[in-house]
Amino acid sequence: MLFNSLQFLIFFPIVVTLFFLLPQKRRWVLLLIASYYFYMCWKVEYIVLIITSTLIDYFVAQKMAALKERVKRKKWLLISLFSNLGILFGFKYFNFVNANVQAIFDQFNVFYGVPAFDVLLPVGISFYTFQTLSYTIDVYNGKTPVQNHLGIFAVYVSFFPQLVAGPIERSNRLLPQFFKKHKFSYERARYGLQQMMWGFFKKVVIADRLAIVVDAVYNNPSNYSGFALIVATVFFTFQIYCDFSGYSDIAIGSARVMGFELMENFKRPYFSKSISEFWKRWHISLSTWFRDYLYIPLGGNKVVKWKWYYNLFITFLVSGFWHGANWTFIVWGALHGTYLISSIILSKPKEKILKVLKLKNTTIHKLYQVSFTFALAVFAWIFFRANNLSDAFYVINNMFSDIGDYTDFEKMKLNLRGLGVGINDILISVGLVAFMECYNLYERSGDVWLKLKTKPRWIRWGIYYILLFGILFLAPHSRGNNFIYFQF
Amino acid sequence: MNTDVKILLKKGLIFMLPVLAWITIVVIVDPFNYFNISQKISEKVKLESAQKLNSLLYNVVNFKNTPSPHIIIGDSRIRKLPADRIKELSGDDYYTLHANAAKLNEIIDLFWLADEYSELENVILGVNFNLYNEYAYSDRVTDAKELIKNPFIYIFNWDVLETVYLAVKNEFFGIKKKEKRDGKLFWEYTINTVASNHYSKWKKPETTLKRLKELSDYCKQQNINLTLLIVPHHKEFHDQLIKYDLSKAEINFKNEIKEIGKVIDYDFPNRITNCKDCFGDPLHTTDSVSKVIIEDLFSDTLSIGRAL
Repeated sequence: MLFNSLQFLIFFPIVVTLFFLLPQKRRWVLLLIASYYFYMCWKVEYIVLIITSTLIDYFVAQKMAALKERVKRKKWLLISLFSNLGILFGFKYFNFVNANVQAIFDQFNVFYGVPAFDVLLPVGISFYTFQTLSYTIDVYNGKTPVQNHLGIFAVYVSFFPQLVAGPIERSNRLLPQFFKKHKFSYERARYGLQQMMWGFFKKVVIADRLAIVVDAVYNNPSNYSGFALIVATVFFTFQIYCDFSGYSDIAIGSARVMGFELMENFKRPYFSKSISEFWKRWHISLSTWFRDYLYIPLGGNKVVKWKWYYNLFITFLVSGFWHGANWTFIVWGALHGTYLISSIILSKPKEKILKVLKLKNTTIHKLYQVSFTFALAVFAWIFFRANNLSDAFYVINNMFSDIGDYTDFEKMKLNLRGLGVGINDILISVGLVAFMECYNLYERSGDVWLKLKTKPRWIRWGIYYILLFGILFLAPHSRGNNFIYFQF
Repeated sequence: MNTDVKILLKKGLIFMLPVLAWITIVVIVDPFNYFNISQKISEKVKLESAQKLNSLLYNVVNFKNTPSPHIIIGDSRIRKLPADRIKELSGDDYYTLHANAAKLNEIIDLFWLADEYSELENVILGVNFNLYNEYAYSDRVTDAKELIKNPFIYIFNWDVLETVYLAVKNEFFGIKKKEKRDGKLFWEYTINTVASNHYSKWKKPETTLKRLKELSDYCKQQNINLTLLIVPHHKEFHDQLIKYDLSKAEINFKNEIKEIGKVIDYDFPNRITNCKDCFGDPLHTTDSVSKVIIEDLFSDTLSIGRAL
């Protein structure tokens, strides 16, 4: 089920009403049924995968809790890792690896007859797999107590607001909340609904509008050059942010209506002053997952320099691969790893130059840092969005062609011909992105909705109506898109 | 009931009142005759308001309400062809399913949409060379289809919002007469800017051509009489093809669509294309000339046009 569907608009109030009508003891049953139903709306059979992961990790954790010796616990941890990652590999990566092995065999004219696995990628498989894995690893490390209630553990794995696209929650944060009695609170429900509305606005109004241009160009990049490629790439930069952070807002908001607090997943990433800061603000639940379960176990930065760089690079490479079984994602991850390593290597000379020029911490310096980080992120997104590496290289090679035409408005308009949208649509999209970034700027000094609480009613309701009527009238409803991160 | 729940329900209901009010307004004004239940706004006003803002949607919804087996599909040039004169000549009630600035891919989409609502017998498609371009692409029919399926999309559509405003304004304050544009200036604009928009970026539309072939095959299977019509442009506009080095591409275009089905061509040097008075602007013939074209098209032998 999609958040941006009529189905969800019916489903959600029913679940919330029943949730508060039921006694605390029975609420997990409702949440489990609702979550499984939510998932099965997409494909009924694949619920088996979630149930399998749940059962394996539940029993593995039980076994580990009963064992005192770490070595013995390790065996059970490996069972969990192999089974969860095995399922993930089978459904997500097998065909990619198989196709690449096939290509190598073809190079040597050797017959390789392993057929492709003809299956649909289960939505959100990477999200719930990582969520459940974090639990078993934490139990293994003794960081979280074992959960004896199978039903509640199953709700933790499948909790519908964050099941298919996160935030990837940790067991010690989310699990205790299922035991807490949540009373209906108007203030909290309002706060949750406000966040949901902002999430819907970002997704259906901004991201889906930007998607029209992005899809037209990136699905057929050779038809375009220069300005159109730049517009599509910058639009994608904001599309993916609005799409994913919009989803996170809806997830956090809908959980909050029921009394659950999910972790913050985005923190104005395009205002970051460095790539390392970007990763503290972008998809926070995933980057902290990789930090805690891959980067630190590899040794983190408490090793010799070359090993530190290696750890960073591997972490980002795996993070890229986590997103999808395609070389484009691997290059995207590798690029971010390279950015980070380069910034560490160049930090000392950079400091010296800034000292000499007396620019450190000046507004110009900060503006430069934000712009440069943004440009690096935009460049990397080309690989993330392109359907294959040759498309990505085409975009890079051609995005600055016909640059002289950028002073001629008519020629710029002409360059956009074939996108299926007019210049007015482009300008509306730019305006919406500016509006969203103004919101982000305002958010720097505190939560927008909490600040709004102190404002007069006409301002509050005025903003609600702008968002509501924006969602109703400005969204390209007939081209409703899936959330990008569903495919991961 | 919990006090907090009561507050939420009360405020939620108050909050939704403007939305409910808007739904009521759209059902009453109904500028595109979507619900077809209210006659508060005259048909003339609806036609004037809706055609202006979204002719495609207006024509699609009205075709769905009153389908016909005989249709002419195309852009604003096709709209000029008088349906009443066609009826006098052929005896058939032709529906002009046009959309302003329709692209060839949209014309094909409109055909398939029309086929869903009617058992087609006679179809005329307006297919000029300026539409035969990979970059001449738009996708408004998908929007119209979704809108027809889902009344909520209709109610909360931006064009509907604008049209409701225009229709109410026109109903109460009268239809404002169109300001007469400077004919000479617009002529120049069409020759220079419009031609540049059409021709400076050109690529053969392989997918659209394939789709046109599929459409033609389907018509043959279903015994639908299909005519591809190339309406005339003034020679000044036509000559722009030389400037953009597309004369050969235009010849190829005519040869390619000739292979697809029956083509009647008016866009070649003839007494219409050479006459400036026959055109309101370089792309659109005057009403009287449009009538002449129709008379020629529906006569036993063509005297102006030519069959390719």
